Amino acid sequence: MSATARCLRDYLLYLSILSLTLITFPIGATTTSSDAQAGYAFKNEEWAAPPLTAGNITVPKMEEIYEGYDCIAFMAIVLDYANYYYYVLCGYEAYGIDWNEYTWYFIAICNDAISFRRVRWGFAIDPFATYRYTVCHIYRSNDYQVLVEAGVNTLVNYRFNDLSPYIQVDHQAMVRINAPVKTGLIHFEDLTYRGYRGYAHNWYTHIKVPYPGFVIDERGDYEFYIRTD
Amino acid sequence: MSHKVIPFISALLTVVFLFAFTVPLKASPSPAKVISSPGYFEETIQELPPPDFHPIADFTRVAERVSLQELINYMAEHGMTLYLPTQLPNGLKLTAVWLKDGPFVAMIVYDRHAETDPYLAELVIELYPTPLTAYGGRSELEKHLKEVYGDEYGKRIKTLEVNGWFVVIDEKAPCGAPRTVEKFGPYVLYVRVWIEEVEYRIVAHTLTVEEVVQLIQNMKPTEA
Repeated sequence: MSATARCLRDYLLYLSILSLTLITFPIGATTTSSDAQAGYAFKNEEWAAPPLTAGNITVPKMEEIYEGYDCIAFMAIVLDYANYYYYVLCGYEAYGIDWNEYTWYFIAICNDAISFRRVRWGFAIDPFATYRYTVCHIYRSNDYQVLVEAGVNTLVNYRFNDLSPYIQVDHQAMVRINAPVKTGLIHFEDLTYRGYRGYAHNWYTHIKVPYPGFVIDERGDYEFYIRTD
Repeated sequence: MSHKVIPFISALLTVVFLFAFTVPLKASPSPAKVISSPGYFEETIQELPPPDFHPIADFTRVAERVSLQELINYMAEHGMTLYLPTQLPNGLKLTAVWLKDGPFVAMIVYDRHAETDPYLAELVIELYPTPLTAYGGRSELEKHLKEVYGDEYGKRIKTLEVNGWFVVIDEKAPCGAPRTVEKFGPYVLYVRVWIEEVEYRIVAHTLTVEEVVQLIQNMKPTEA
């Protein structure tokens, strides 16, 4: 075998070994993706879940985000836990369009036994302001309404029609990220529920739902801060 | 020596060169840049959720594992009776009970291989405090199902009565937990039964419709 052929053979051999090493042991966490969520789950003394959940959410600038990865801070009503899961949520989404460059939306999702429906809205307003997010079952209907409010102004008022199943079974206030995303200190406050009739009440007990990689600072039953560590 | 070193360095440089183009550098000091999209509106409708998208925390993270007796006692405190199948097909055995007490949600887990995770077990019976009246009664619920499922009503969705209880069978309900999909696939047999003031949702990965109907026929009140 000539020296050139030997060199080429060795080059290809080393190239294969180095490439395989990189694929098997990726540098940092930049190439891994896994779903992670943490926050509060609703708890009360009542037998059934109320039909309305709401909360104020403030999302600061993302600390680290990548193209195709996102962070969603939301209020949700769960419709079924077993089928992982049926729910209606409304919240804020930071969606990476490049390395540390992202766009943001108000987002609402309805996932039930019929379909997965996702709606996004973009606004020319302050992304770091506090907005109030509400998810509500509409009495005597199969429908859910989601609202995003800034003070007295309603920015989003959207209705998901004809869900199945459609009766609420639980509430959650959560942050969900793809693993490499790093958030700032996200603030949830004034977490509220309401029955079909009567006044709204703040959550008065809660279940902390931790997850590795998140730090939750519990300020009470209806307020907490959360960030990635 | 150089005839070994030169190919190695060449290969290393090639890999580094390719890697630099494909992976962003993690230690970049630039702060995140936020871009607003005023007037942007996007509506997506698809049959199944994206496979890597699961925003809600699963039930095992919000509930506690309890004994069957604790669940029976909890329900009795609220004036409810727990109904459970007296005969189980295919050698299934009760492996775990998960309870969230307020709002009430419970999962009773059955499996042949002692699996206690409701997202990996073969059979799960969920309990929710949603009586049939919450759906406006049987005729209202049937009307609703016909409306929302359209042509699939009568095919994928069937209704019947077992022991005087209203039963809705969905032969192809989507289930999206990665661990569930990996083990059983993206669809599941999903049967809803209303007994007294409680809705039972039976999630059966390895049973047939006939076996689940038989299981419902065998459901009896448990003793407190």
